[in-house]
Amino acid sequence: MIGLRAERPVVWAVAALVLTLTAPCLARAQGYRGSVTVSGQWLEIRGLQPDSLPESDVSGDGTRRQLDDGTVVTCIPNGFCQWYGSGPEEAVSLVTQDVEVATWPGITGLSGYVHLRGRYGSGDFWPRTDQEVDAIAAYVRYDRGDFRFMGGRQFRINGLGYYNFDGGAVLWRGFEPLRVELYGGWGLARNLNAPRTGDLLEDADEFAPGDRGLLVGLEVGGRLGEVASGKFTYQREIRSDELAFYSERIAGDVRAQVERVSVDLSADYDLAFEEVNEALIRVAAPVARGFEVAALARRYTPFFELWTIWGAFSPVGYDEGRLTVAWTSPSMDIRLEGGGGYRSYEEADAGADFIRLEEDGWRAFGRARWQPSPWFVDLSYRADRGTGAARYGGDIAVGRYFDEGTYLAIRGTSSQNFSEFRLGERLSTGWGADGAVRWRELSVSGGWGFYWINMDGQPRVEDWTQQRGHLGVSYRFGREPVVGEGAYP
Amino acid sequence: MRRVLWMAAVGLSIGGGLLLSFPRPDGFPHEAHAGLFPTCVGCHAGIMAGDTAASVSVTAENCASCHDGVDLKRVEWRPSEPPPTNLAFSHVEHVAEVEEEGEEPVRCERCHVRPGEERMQVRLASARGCMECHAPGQGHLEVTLDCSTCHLTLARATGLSTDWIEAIPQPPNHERPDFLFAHGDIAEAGETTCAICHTRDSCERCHLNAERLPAIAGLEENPRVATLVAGRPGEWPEPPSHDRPDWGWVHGEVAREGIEECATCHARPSCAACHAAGSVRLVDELPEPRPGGPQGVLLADVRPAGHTADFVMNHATAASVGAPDCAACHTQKQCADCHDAPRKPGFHPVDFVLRHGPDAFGNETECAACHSGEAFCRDCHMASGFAAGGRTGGAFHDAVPDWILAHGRAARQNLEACTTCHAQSTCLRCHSAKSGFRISPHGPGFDAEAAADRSQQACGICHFSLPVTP
Repeated sequence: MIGLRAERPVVWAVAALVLTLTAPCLARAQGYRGSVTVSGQWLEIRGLQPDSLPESDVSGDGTRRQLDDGTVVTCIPNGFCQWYGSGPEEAVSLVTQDVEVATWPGITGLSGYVHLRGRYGSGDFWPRTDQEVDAIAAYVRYDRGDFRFMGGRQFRINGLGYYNFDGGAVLWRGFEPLRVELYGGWGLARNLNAPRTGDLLEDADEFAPGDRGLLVGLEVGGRLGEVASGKFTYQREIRSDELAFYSERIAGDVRAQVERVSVDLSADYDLAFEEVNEALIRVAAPVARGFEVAALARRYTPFFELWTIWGAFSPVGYDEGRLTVAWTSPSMDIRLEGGGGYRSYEEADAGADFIRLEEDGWRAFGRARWQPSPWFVDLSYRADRGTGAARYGGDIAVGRYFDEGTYLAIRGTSSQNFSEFRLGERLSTGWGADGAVRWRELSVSGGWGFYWINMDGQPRVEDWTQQRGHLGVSYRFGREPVVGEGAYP
Repeated sequence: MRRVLWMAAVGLSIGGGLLLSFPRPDGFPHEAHAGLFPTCVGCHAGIMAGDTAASVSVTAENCASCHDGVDLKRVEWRPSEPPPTNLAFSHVEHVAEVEEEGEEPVRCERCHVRPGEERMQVRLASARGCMECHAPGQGHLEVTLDCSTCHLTLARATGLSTDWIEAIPQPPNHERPDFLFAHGDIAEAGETTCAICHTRDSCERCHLNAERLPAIAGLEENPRVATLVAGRPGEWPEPPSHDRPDWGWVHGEVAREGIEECATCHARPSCAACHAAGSVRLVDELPEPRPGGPQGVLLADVRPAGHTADFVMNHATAASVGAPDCAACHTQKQCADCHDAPRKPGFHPVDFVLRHGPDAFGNETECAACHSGEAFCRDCHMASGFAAGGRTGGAFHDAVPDWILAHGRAARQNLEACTTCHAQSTCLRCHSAKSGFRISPHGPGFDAEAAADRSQQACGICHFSLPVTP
């Protein structure tokens, strides 16, 4: 059963789009462009399975005991001793089908865009594989003079992130370089392209929101010549019965580019919990011939919508510094990159002090790409250690380009994973091959991989092997009406 | 025995040296015949009728008419092969042209005898001699005259070997630092001048759009030159225009003004490094690389300023303000491909599911920017047994004894990660004012009023009555 999640505004938008497509205008500026993409993934997964024995059957005392094979179990007095062992192996698949069309009906300034995505999967294992068709975007846009109007399902990219909604937006730029945009409509659950009241959240949480919610926002942006651009965003999501907000946030972003030095400043603030969710400054600059450095300082505290209780749990954030250095030699076809970062968490004021947990973390990475055309070799290594988990591992890829969009590569990978809160070490090693072929507007890509997963420190979690593959086919069609006017509306 | 060998070696060396030092019959001894031949055309009779090899060099029969073995001893004479040349000179035409222009007839010695020397001190004509009349005061290779005045194009000079071609001297203007960027104008101004030393094969080594440039398309192809350039990579030095600090952002405008100039060094794959396929139609006007031919400048690792390796994780600010113009390189669908998980492998490595733990805890980039913690992460964690219904026994967190005592700090520091396994109801078993242990989850400084002001409903999940009156 395929359920179309498109709500009424989307239906209107799609209808308007069809109208614009079929409008009897044969003006020079008429045109359309689109693509159809079918992509499938198949993989084997092996999860965990809880198991238990009556407490009386396990020797020792206390809440933490060991079975004969060394498995650490957690015992509840007069109850059971529990542990997690290997679950069954399962094979899952996911197929997505994308259809997108951008159209210019021949009326100056009028365009439409629709992007539909169908998902089809096997079983419940992999998230969001229920058969469904989503409208990622479906809107009509009229862009003329000082104004731009958009109506339908659209998404916004601003300092608060990536938000979808069904509604309208009006941009005014009558006082360039100032740009003011007001937008609003029915909100959608973030990253789901579906109303908050839909099955996806309802199945996931018993306190899922009972109202779809309205979203309104204001963006004020401006440009200082070619040197700097900035945007201020205010956005509020409110229940349509006006009983509560889902969120109320502001964000400010500035990006400056002087010569080849770029500076990003960004901050977003949650008015409900009076918390800076993210604030960062990032500077990237060439420091010598071929060398580029990017430095970043960031504060991060997670944001939670007000339909959850999580924000009231007073999550703490961390401060972080990162540095990336890149060296490129076009004559030697080499690019080397390396960097690292350190983060330190705020005091949590919770939990027993005598139990030691990580309170900081660091990460480092290195990457080398050598591209003696038509070959390429890619080596990378990454180490990441912090609260919750750690990982050390690297990847290698060797491949050859045959033509534009046509390549073949062999890849290998190995990584060690640790969890701070869970015993054991997982080593995953694998190799695979992938490639792509492009012929005119048709491109086909695919790959296959084989991995060995070895577990150490968890006797009842078995070693296993995993295979996974993917295959995608994409076809583009149509032409834009005006040379050089760029991409999609 | 050793002495014998030494003597033999020395003898052979001396003998060989003497043998090689004898004059070889490769030049007629004109000076020895001074006074015998009052005119040149006595021997070179054919020279005025047509340029044939026979008319340029005397034959053995000519010699034998005097050196008959009776009056004069016989001589052995073998006329030399005419040297390979790319000269387009014809004595007949030259004489006719001089006559046509009403000039004084050119005598043989004008070209074949150096000034001040005797008439029979004959030498091959040199370029310098030609220049004296045709371009007085100019050097051979600096001449402003069209080279085809005297020379055949390289394609037509079929007698030249590849070694000869390779040894063609380079004109001084080719050494100018800006020659590479200026040679196009020179070529357009005088196609035949370039064609004296170059064929189309020379140009196609670098020019990806060779067939679209009249100055190159007009040149002939030649297998000898093709052999010489085969395997030699193209040269595409960075032009001065690219030094502009804002080149990354203005290059589109420059390309629109004259894409053909770009097409010298860039084929479509160059642009594919940044511009999504099909996103900029102008790219389609660039040539496709010829099979087996040069690929042009590949920009696989050239990115706009600031697009370092970490940019994929830190592009939010640039995307928000839209500067630089993201749409110049990226389509809207590309945003959706990543931000609407699960769409495709690509952003994460293919085996990311096996190693995503540290990334999720570390939040190098906000997972929630693409994934719904509830409907994506928790869904999978539940299905794979990691979440296991949100049990509170602590068996999963077996690395920390007395996890229940430690979990508060871990939760405050990693609450997003916790919510990928635990639903609200799990925590409410203890952290609710309505039931359970009624343990307050609020940290120091929690502003209940501000929160209640915006969502009394959220407060109502845990509280029967609002702790504060907004």
